Amino acid sequence: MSARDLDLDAVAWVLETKDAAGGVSYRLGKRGPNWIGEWGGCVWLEVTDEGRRVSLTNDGTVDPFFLAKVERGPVAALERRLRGELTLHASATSSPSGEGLLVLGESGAGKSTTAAALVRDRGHSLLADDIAWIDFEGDRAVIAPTEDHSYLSFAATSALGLTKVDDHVYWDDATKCGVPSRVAARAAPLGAIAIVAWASDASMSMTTEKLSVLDAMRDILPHVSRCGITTPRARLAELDDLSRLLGSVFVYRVRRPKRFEALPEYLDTLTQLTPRFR
Amino acid sequence: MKVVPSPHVFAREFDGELVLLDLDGGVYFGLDGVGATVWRALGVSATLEHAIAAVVSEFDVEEQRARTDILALVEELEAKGIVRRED
Repeated sequence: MSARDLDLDAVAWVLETKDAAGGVSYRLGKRGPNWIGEWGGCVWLEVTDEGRRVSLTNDGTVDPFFLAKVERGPVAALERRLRGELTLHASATSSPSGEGLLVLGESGAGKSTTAAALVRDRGHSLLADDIAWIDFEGDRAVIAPTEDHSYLSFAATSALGLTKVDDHVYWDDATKCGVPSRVAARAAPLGAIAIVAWASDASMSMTTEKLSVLDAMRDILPHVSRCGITTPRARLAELDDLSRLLGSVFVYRVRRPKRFEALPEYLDTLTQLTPRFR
Repeated sequence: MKVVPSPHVFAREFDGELVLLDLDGGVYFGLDGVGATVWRALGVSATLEHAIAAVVSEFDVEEQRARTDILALVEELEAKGIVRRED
């Protein structure tokens, strides 16, 4: 399907996000009562105001690996946002005993690498690599398995001794590659949230700090996947879900030195955070 | 003095701490301790006197000190559009 078939000229675009190279990576608009999301100028979602999918199309040139990742990631995030469901930019794993660990951090903080290392070295299974779906069963937050690959830099892939699959290029980022991972068989109840960051100095030791609710809220907010949907209904649903999330688990800030030798201690620290249900 | 919370601000409470969301600007604010007590009091009766009485009864603080602190908090909240003062 081409852009002409989709009648993109009839879309009133309300938001445009650019990538580092200045290209348009994401557009959001309205056509009639429905929302149109566009990724990379080649994948289009039409979705109702209530988050029900009308169509998901692409221009026929899209790598299937890329397309699957977009559908599980940003496409799902937009649909979920419209349905009032919480989605976070985060990686997530399930421990051997089945507790979920959600890992948040700034871009470059090593979220995907952390998840891949927990899978390789600590018997965890992968739930999410970049986009984590947070749902609720009663008051307990659960994370659904949505990924079957980690998406890592070549450096991290090599350092962990992992093997990439094919040469899929996600967006225009040729510095990362898909790495098959052991996938969690079922959704995991969330046991803890770790907000990870590098220590300011590689010689510093690791620190772990349990955050107050207000500090946790402040640190999690930048990682909410809003997809440009800022309606009062979506915002209130976000507040309610964040409240339930912070009412059900503790949030920790973990700073680690930027040294590969520190990895085992870092993984031990993370695995000791769960289960810490409130 | 009346201190009226904005109808666009919604609050959720955890362990005595409050998170406020201003739907108008999409901005979050946090209130803990005295601030949370003031907010709850304003929800019952939107007057400065009621908020002062609530803080004096809940915390070990003299009324004059409470009044000064609460006025400063109300000014801060008003500057952010969270409350509106009516004399």
